[in-house]
Amino acid sequence: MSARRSPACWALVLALAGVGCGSVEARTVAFRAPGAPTGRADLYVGKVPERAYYEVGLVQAVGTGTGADEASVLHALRLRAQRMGCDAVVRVGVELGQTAAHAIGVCVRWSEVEAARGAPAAEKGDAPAAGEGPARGGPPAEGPAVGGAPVADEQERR
Amino acid sequence: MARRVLRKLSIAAVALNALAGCSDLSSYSVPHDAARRSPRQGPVAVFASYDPRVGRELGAVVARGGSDDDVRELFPELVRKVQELGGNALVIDSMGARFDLVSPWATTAYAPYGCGLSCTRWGAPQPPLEVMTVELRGRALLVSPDELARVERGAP
Repeated sequence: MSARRSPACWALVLALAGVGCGSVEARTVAFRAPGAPTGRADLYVGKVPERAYYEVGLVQAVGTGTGADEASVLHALRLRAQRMGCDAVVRVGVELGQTAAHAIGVCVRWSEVEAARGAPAAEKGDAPAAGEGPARGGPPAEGPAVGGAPVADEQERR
Repeated sequence: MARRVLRKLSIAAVALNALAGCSDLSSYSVPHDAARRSPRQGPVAVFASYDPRVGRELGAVVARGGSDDDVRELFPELVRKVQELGGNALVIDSMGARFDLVSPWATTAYAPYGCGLSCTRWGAPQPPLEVMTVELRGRALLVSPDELARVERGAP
């Protein structure tokens, strides 16, 4: 009996290795300290939410193999945002390649301040008047949002 | 003998290169005017989802990276560019990825004049690879503390 494996055997091994091979990796940069995980995080692709919010950080997801599709990267983006304590991800952008998919967005938390209802000034095309600036982004009261400390990664293997 | 040593050295060099990874991180800034400002240290306020429309624009900043780079490398680089321009606030205008097909170059050894003389030829015989490039693009601002306090009202 020869110890050499037939080409069919190698093909079977390669086919088995290829099944279910893919990953989605989520990465984040926090502008401020992440909060407690939330139960849901809405995704805003085109428009921005009408309620007041402030930015927590950037969320990015890269999917490869079987994870290289829009649904997978958006799902990873949403999960990562929830773990960061965000209520929504705004300015979500998705790009699809042939072997990978990429999604990125701004992780935000709803603000208690009611001063900023409506679309942000940048969308309306008018600058905010003194004293009625939109309650979005910007540094926290105790210190500006700096550079961003990377938060631990999340990786899903399929 | 010398050829054998050379071969071992080249294999070691290729292995080292593979282990080191290939980071394509690059960044640049373009000031809006000719005024030379000294780099600024300290915190940089970030506006990633809207334009606060405050302060003075100092210039454009761009950070770009390959598949091995992500927001954890790109974002600090963008902030550093803002500080280099003397700014204290960053507005991120666009962020996203681009996919390109590139043909990897490879060396092919062949012996046109017999076994004793071999030549090396550069070529692209391999199928094209897809390469992802992630880019963050924004503007550096100089904003007064009063204006910053005005636009930060939503934060805790």
